[in-house]
Amino acid sequence: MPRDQEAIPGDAGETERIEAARAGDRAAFAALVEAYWDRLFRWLFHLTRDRHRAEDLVQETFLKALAGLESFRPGSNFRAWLFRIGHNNFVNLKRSEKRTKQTMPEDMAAPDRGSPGDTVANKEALDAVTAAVADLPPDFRSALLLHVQEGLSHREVAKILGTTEETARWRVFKARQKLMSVLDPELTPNNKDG
Amino acid sequence: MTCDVSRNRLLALPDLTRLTDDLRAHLAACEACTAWLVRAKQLDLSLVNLPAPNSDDAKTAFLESLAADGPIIRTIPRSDRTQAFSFVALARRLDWRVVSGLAASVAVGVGIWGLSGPGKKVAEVAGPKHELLAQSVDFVTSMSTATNPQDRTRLSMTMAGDLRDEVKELYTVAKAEDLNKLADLYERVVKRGLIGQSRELARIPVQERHALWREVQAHLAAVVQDASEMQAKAPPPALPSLAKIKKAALDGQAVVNNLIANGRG
Amino acid sequence: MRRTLLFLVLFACSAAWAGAQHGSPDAAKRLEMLAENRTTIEILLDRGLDLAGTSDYVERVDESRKAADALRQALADAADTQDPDRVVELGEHLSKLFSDGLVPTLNAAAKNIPEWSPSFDRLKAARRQAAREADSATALDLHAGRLAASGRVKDVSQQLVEAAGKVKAAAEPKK
Repeated sequence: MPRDQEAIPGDAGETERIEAARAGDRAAFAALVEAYWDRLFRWLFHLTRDRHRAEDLVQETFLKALAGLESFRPGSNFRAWLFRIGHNNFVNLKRSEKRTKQTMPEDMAAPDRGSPGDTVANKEALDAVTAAVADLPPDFRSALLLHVQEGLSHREVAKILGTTEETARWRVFKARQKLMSVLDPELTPNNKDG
Repeated sequence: MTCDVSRNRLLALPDLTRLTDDLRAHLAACEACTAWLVRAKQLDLSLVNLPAPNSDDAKTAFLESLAADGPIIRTIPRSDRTQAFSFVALARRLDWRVVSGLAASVAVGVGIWGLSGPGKKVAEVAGPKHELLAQSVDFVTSMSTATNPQDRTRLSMTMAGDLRDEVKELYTVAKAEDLNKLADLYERVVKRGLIGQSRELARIPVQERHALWREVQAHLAAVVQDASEMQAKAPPPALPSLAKIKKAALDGQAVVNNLIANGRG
Repeated sequence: MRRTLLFLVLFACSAAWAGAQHGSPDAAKRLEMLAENRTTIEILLDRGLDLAGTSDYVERVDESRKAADALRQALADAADTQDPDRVVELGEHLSKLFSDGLVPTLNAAAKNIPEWSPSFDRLKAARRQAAREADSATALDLHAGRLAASGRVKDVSQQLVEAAGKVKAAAEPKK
């Protein structure tokens, strides 16, 4: 669950793995890749709405992280640092696609995994949320998912997105408000005072 | 509390399971907001479970390249990802305001190029620079070579003055958070730099230290004056930060007055 | 005559536009810059205040080095986001801090801490760290994408290499 304090920057084992990776131990770096690939991919997939682009970005992020481990401040939050690199890569991708007149795909590739126990109603609800999230502006989507999926504080979200804590808080708030109004229009504020 | 207020406050909570007492009281009396909270919790749960495709193959390929000796190579083939070019799609994506702006820019550019003649380069224009950042770099750079309390006092006074100037520029428009940070920094520079070093001045010749203490007094008095003037015009969110700056300057003044009065001068 | 007049009009318009884009920053821009640099400024001021409060030569090297490290981190972020103006601004600051801050503290430490001193081991560690960080400053990719097109970035990159070289020279253990 999200909290408004700094997230714990990883367990003691992670600190050692980072140190070892800084010293050139590739197995240690591979362990970091194992630990963070899926969550980074999930976030970037929802930003790009394209599996292949997201995979490219994740790979690029880890390559940059490997090259830049020297600049990582020991003791600080590795996850936030990694996601910040991922965010910068995403921003660069958007810029380059703007220049070449490509755009991010309008529709997402169908996810190829889901839990077998999902009911039809649950699946429909999840599809509706997925579509509503995809409609959010990228900055808002990005902040909301970091906060809710990754459980990062507003301050950490701000650091990753290169903005102020207040702006991060505002984006999460507006994104949630927008989703609620799309998903439950009859329950949105202004409708039922009493 | 109205339902609008209640729901907006719920949306702003970092954790929907940790409600404040007044929200709890409103929810106990309002079925609509209770239903709304249930839906909001479901939304968070859905967001946590938002589906994403499987990326195990790409991860495995990357890990294999990592384990191999030598430089890491890109492992994900790109051939299936090229998009077919379509004039229709292109036309749909074009923003005609941008196109017309671009055309105008090209026309101006060609005009200037034609008039300026061959062989002349267009100079790169430098972007704006952040004065306070430059001043902070100067501060730490100069502190690296400052070895006596006189120099360190003067450097601290300059930095404190720079922070005060930044506050004067921004106090009517800055967010409370930014202003509070500037006030914090001012307080730190005064306490640890200006006053800390002023105490060290007791070791230098009497005339010199008196002159410097008077300079410090004058700086702090001017800041108290500035802060009072700003307080009279500032929007309410700026007031606590201005009060903090004023207090730091007043406390500093008291210490310096003491240093002079208590026979250490 | 008409061509000259046209040129003057275009020049005036361009100058006004350029002034609006890059002149003295207005309050909104200043606020934006403050938000962007707040953390770095805070670290620089804290390191400066720590420098004011210590006469230990190794601690002074470390404080100066940490200040430079904060700028290096900010520069790495600016390089990642391909912002030439910011790369130039931060690169100039880092070069200055290397040459006029870190190098003098390294020289002062070398002059005042002989090999037999109990502080010498600490100094060796501080030197190694300073040299390593100078290396990683020059390893930043300041030539990719949009940055490659900027002559100013190229100049500042050269400046940074020279300043980092001075740090490395000052950090070499004296025989």
